Amino acid sequence: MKIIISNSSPDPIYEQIAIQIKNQIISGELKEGEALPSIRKLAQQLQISVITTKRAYEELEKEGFIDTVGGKGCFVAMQNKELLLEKKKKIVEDKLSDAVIEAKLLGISLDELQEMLLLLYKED
Amino acid sequence: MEYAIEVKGLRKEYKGFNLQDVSFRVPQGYIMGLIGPNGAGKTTIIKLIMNLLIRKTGEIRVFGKDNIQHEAEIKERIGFVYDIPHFYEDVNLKNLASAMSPFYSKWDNSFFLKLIDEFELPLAKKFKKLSHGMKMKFSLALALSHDADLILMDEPTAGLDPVFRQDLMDRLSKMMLDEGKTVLFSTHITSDLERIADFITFINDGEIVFSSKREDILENWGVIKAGQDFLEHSKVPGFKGFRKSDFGVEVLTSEIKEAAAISSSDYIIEKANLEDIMYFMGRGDQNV
Amino acid sequence: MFKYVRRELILNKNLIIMFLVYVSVLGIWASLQKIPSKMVIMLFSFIVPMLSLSLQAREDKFKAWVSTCSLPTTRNTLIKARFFTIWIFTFTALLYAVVVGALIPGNQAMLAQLLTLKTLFLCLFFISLCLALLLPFIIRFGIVGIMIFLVAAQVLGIVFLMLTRLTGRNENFFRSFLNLIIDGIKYLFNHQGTLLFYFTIILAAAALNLFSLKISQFLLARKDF
Repeated sequence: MKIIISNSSPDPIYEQIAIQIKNQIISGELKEGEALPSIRKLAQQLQISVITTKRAYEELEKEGFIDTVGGKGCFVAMQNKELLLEKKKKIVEDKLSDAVIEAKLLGISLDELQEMLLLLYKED
Repeated sequence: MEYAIEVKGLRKEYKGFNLQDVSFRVPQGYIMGLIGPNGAGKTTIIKLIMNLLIRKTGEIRVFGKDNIQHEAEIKERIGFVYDIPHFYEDVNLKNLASAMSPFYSKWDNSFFLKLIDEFELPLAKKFKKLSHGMKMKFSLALALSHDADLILMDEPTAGLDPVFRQDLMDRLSKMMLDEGKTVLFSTHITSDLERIADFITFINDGEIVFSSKREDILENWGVIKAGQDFLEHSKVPGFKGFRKSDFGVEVLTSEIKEAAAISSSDYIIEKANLEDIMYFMGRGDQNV
Repeated sequence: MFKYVRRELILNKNLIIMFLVYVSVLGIWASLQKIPSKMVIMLFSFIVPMLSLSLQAREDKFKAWVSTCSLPTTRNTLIKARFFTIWIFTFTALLYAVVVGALIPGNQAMLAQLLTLKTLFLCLFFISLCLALLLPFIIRFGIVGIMIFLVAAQVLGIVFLMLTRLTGRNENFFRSFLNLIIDGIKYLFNHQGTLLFYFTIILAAAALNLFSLKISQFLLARKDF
């Protein structure tokens, strides 16, 4: 499992951790049922506070990505294939939603927005 | 939730200084930083917990027990590091440790020697011959060598180089793998706490300003930077302090989300760090 | 208790050695000068508590109280341990002085005269008296306590003097007080050594120690470090 924390990122540390773990679960790097390091182990390895890692895991559990088995630790939750797809879609949907809100605020029309999307998608 | 330390309604008059109704709790298994400007009362609180100062009123419970009625029992489980280590100056380190170790039933001499080795301390040298840094390291070695459940430190990193400070944070971090261990340390070098502290208690002028999760604080506090023609600062939600210069004004707020909703001319909001908080609330309201 | 005594020994090693040397030198000098036994007792009774007070003073000098009181113990126990240590050292010093004295040729006779139960008990009594007077001051005020004690004694002397003036009596109160003390000491030395006498002396010594202990504990319990 790879976790990189940026001090200069506007995202709080717990969020950075949660997102990275989430992505690794979605991409399959972290397999279903795989054991995650304990909250305290992760905190010690990353040199951050225990409450931070606790919060990251809590977020992941809330979104159904991990399960906490009492006394045994945290494991990657069994991902329903369709649900997983849903989750992946949701991530992109959230970002698009942000873009739409921003566009409306700035007075950018739907056509302009679609043009932008096309250009961007073709870029890579 | 178990608390390693519970302080309630603590009062003390000491050297022309007043501790007023101090109350806070340190949850077991975490690191709490006690911050505040010099003279705010940090050392006083720690000394009161160790019963070095006699409290006037209030309650102090450590591991759930009154700190005076169960003094010896509690201190068995506490490793202490004070800002100025006071030991017999003309005795060498080996003898100082030897004089102290029988008092702790869980003293681990091989662990102590390992630490001495890692800290590169000369056991045969007299205490007075050591530099300040080495005195602190010795103090720390003693505190960590009897499997203490609570580590109590008063300004442990003041006057010490960044290498040692980082090393100390590493060790504390490793300690926290055991959820039975708790750390309370006071400092005015807040950068030490930015990543590793779980809880922060801020004391100013003998009063507790806040005591909460570091995450919550950093999420909710911010510094607004604007021109001098900014809204009258007192109208800023969660206003906690400000600083004016010829070129603008900086305002500390504890409600960053509400403050962000202010529709006004240009300003920027940045997240506050612990140093900002200490600065603004300590002496912020002065013109440059 | 053992760990407390051991601690004192380790931390004050040099002081204790120096003290033993000093006592032996003094003992040898006293016997060479053929100092009367009563003087020797009084001298000894004053010197020995000095060791004890020096132990206290060292703790004060290095401000080590902060570390000492942070150890897993209570202030009351620390004081009790201090008394225990003081008496162990006292008996050791006494024994040591006797042994050294016995080693000096020609001294055995004087020693035999000295080493009666009466002198021993009186010695203990006077030592207890000294400790009872000085130790609480030292504990409350630190090494400065000795100064304070002397100043207090001076003030008392002045008060006596003033009383004499005020009441216009011819007798000097202070002189009468001193004479009373000297007479008391003479009485103690000259009195026949009955069992009841010994018993009373030891009881008084024990009472003084207890009193001193309680006062010291009371004072230390209220001190802020």
